Amino acid sequence: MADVSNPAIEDAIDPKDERENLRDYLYALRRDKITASAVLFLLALLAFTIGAEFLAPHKPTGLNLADRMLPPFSTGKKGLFYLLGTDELGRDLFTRLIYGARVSVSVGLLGATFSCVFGVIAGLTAGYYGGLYEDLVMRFVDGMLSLPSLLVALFVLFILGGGFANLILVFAVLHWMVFARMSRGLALAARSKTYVVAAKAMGASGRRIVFRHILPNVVAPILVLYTLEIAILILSEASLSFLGFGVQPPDPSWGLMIADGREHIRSAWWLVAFPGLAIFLTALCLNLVASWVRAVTDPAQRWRWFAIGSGGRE
Amino acid sequence: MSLEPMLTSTRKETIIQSSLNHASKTHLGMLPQFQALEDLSADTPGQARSRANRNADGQVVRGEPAFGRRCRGHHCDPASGISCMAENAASRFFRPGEATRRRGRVAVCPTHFNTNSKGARFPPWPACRGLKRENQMNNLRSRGHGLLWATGSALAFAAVASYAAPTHGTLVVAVNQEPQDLAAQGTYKEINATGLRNVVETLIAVDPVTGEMRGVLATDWERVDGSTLHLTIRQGVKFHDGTDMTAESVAKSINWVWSPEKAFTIQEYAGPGEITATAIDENSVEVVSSKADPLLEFRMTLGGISSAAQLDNSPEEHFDTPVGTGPYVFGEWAKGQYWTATYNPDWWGLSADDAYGTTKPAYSDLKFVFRAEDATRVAMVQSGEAQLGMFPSADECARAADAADYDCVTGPSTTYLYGRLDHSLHAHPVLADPRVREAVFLSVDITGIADLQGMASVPQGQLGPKGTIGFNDAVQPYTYDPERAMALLAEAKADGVDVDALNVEVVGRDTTPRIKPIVEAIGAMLNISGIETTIKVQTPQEFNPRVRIAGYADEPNRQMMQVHVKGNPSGDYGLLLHSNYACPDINDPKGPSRSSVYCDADFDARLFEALASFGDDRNERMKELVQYVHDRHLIVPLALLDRGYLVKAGTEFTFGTDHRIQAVYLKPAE
Amino acid sequence: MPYLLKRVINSVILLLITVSFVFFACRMIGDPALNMLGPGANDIALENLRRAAGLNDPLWLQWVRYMGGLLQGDFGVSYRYGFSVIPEADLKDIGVPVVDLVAERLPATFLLAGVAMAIAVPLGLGMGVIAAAYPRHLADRLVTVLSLAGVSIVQFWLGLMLIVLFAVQLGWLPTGGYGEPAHVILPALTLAARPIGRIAQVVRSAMLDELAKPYVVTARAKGVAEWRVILLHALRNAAIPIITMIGDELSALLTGAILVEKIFAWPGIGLLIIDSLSRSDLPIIQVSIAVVATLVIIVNLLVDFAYRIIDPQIQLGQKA
Repeated sequence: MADVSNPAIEDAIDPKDERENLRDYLYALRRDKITASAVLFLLALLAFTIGAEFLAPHKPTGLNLADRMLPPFSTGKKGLFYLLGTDELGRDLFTRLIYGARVSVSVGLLGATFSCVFGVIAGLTAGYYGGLYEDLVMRFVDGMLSLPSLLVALFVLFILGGGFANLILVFAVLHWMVFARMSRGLALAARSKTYVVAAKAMGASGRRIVFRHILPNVVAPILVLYTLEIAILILSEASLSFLGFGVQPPDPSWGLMIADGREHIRSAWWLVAFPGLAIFLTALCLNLVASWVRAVTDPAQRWRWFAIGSGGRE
Repeated sequence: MSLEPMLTSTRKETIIQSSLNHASKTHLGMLPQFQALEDLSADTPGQARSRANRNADGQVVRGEPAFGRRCRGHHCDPASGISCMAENAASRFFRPGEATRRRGRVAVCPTHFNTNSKGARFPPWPACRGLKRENQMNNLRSRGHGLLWATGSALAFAAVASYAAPTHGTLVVAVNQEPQDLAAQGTYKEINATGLRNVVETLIAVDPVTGEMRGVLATDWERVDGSTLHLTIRQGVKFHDGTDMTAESVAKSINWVWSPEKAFTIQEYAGPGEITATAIDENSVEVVSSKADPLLEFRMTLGGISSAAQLDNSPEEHFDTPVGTGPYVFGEWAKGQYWTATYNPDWWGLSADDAYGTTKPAYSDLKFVFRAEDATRVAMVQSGEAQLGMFPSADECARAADAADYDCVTGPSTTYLYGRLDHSLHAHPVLADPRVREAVFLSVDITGIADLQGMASVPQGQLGPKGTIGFNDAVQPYTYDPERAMALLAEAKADGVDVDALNVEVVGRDTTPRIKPIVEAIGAMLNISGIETTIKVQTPQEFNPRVRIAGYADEPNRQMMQVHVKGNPSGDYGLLLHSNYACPDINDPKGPSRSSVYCDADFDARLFEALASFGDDRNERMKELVQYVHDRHLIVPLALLDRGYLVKAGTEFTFGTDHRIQAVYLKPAE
Repeated sequence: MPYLLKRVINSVILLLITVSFVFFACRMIGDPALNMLGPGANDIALENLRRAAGLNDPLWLQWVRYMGGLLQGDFGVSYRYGFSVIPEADLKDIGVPVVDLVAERLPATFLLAGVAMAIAVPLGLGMGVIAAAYPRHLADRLVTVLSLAGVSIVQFWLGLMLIVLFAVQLGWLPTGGYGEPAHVILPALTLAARPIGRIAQVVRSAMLDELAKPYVVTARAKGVAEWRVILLHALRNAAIPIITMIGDELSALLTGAILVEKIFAWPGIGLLIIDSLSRSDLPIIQVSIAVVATLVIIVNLLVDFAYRIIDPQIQLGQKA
């Protein structure tokens, strides 16, 4: 194709002066204890999600009617220890939380990833190419955005039936517009920047410009949105599962665990409290990380984080 | 059984000597300490027969509430529990005045209990576990005093003359679901239109105190032949719209409610024939079934009688503005929130000395508030917003023991939980092997399931409770034996049965209370025997077609065990056997057996003979069929459900196995 | 006004598409009559309902009739309250018009959303302003954490916890219901948590932006009182993003109240939707989704108006 430009020159034009700053970020993170613990929590969560089979103390399914509804920190009839207590079938709540994380987190991650990929492609191309294509895409996005998304999700799941795959599908279909609208704005702004103009002048193809030049420069705000979306999707999953339209049993998901425990809310508070806390903490950590990323990548604010001795959040 | 002397006793103050001399019978495998109770409360088949015969012969019991006879069918009624135990304690007299001194609380004692792994955590009387200990002491004491309830009732009736108006304000009931409509037919099933019987009355009712049929709007009835019933209508009764209740209007109401054309949901309890009614004179109505119907009297306890003027003039109002004859007049129905009724000062029962109820209306208004959330209903009673809350969980009921402001009362119902394993129709071939079926059934720890259900007892290997016509005492629950199950599977495999293909799909419907843990537990239990399972809890949209012949005929071969609840209020195995085991006809998917998965021409032939028979013959035929289906491992009975209520402390609430919420059976605290 | 007119027309078209989508999707889940009446229903009842509801006609005809009715303001009749259909009757005559059922629920939903916003807006504004006025102060950090917590909490879980605490343990407030002022407190608090957080966040960052601008420096230099600077200058100029956020949150409240209404048995439109879904009452589902979508669109239009009032220089339709 016409893509004969010299990468070295492009890089020189490219204002990617943050590339070598990874160490700076880690440094800033270390100084921000709250965000650092949020990151640690999320990493631990990820580890538990991946290694549930090895890290969970008990089996997530099965039956142990002798040890039903034990409160946290109790020891069962056969000497088994239950950190967070047991549910009404005698299954360890902590183990169920770990396996539940697998479902909840992957719904959030996959849903956000699909909607992000699709939305960013649609938004960047619309913003870059403009014209009728942009008009159509954005008209559609505006229309979809003006629909009440939880309600539409509820309705579509009512029609399709709940379940893991359908949930992700619905989330991807209903959340890509946010990414599209944002990345279209970013592309619009980038279109007139010198590095794009220069790349264009050197004969780079539209696709190359969009994905090799514009995309790397708008990663930060998209990353922030992505993180926030994961949190939102985890919350939505809980809501939909709670209503019975989300993940179906016997898959344990956090929302489903709250729904199941609701019946025993006064006699066995831990059945509701811990899954709710797990969702809360996960969403909180994602939000903390997102706002940190936004702050450190914001040119107006970042001095607070990198300049030595200038305070910042402790 | 010498019931007649009590039942025909006219002097209500008479001190009734209990003549319930039950011989000790084989026990069901309940906890030993309840054996006596169980035995006492259980009708022998002979008793049940005598009831049926009596009805068929036209020797009917009417008028006075039959005090003293507490134990009906397989179990006591909530109130009767006391008396049963009292009788058991060999104290067969009550002392007038005793009841008024007692701090009034309803003690409830279902007569059969599952062995409870948490037994140690409960007071020694598990069925009364909702009650406070002091209260249990009361109950224990009161057991010695005999027929407490009879006393209470007698006093209430003695006080007729002095009764002026309700002494209490609004009775708020937290109901678990909103009615579909308030049409008069809704009286047939309390859960469908909770509280409607306060407004719309029936001709006959099953008395919650005695468990016997008694007259309400009919003062007398007579069996003419197998398909005809003559009822004498109570005189001087007015509908709430001011019109008189005449034989004509009653006949019109019966025809309306039972018309197959109208297709009301009451049709699920319609008999073999079509029911029609005509007025034969000013005071009598003739009810005819187009086919011989041994349960015609029972059906007359179901359909409500409402104003004929309304049916004539504004039939559309019939669905949301009930006009009946009851102690309360319908007020308003705020859709999605509540419906109300107000005390009826012109109610016939205020002056009639054979009115039903344990008390005159004590509340000036009734308010039935719809609260689908279990926790919300519980909290409403706890916070005093409601005086009565429906169906708390077993845990909530147990917690009531520690609460000062409210109690829990429970009682047996005729609802049963079952697991139906695909058989003849569209079933996977592996399920045709009897060893495989047995292995599946032996893998289910029924006691564990009943325990998980909470407030439930282990059925005796059959769907009906003791006392049902056709109950077979020789049948025992399938024993829990995973090792035997594994051996059977191995044997079948050795014989070339494709056991590896076995993967039982355990399916429940999400609207069934507590279904999810139960389905998960059954899955886990089958896994222990090495049987693979797939667990599903489906919405009604998904589930309903799958349990209906027209729907599952479309499915590929399947291995489904549907875990579901059904009720059988008729006290007879006819409906149970027909709807669960008779071969369904794909061309007639509306038939009563539409959800059966079993096809056996021999069985069907015997069933239809049994359905048309009366009396002893009917009982014996049904018993044989119960054994027959049990041996073939078609349905595993999982639990007989008790139902409970949270009530404001001190409220006395009397209800039968049909669990009607009627204000005249609710005595408020002092 | 042409811009506004264009938006309204767009919205109406969008609504019609949505309603049609919902209409056809509803027909995909099998026989509506059977779904409604359940497997226990006999064929006569099913046939009565099908006939009375016109479900025997071809799909396209049903759609044409439905859309025709909509354009004339006829939203159909609920299956639910016309459950026992008498053979000779038409659902139109005995059923309850959907529009009545929905209209009956709207005041409750409006009340709840109104009270929740009445709690959320002042609190969110206050928290955001304080945080911006004292950046990196303890108050700022507290506001940041609280607002993040408000955004991260699971609404229905918060509602359950509030019930346990205030209704059951302390017995101060009713657990649910509708009618008295006390009933609205817990559900409104539950619903307010998220908007408080979101509004505080937006106010804080918009105010920080404004306070860094030269006119603020000038004002301060001129000796204008700090509270005047903050409230009259900065907050006013930061109004656009704040209004946008309030609008967003209001639409989210109108739709997101479903769970909260369910938990507190609040007879709003969300509860109606959940009930209707579980009963497959298609006419109600169709109309309530359309109504909620309309509300959201109206809120968006109001936000547009608000922009104009706040800053007449804004050309509607020009914002990117």
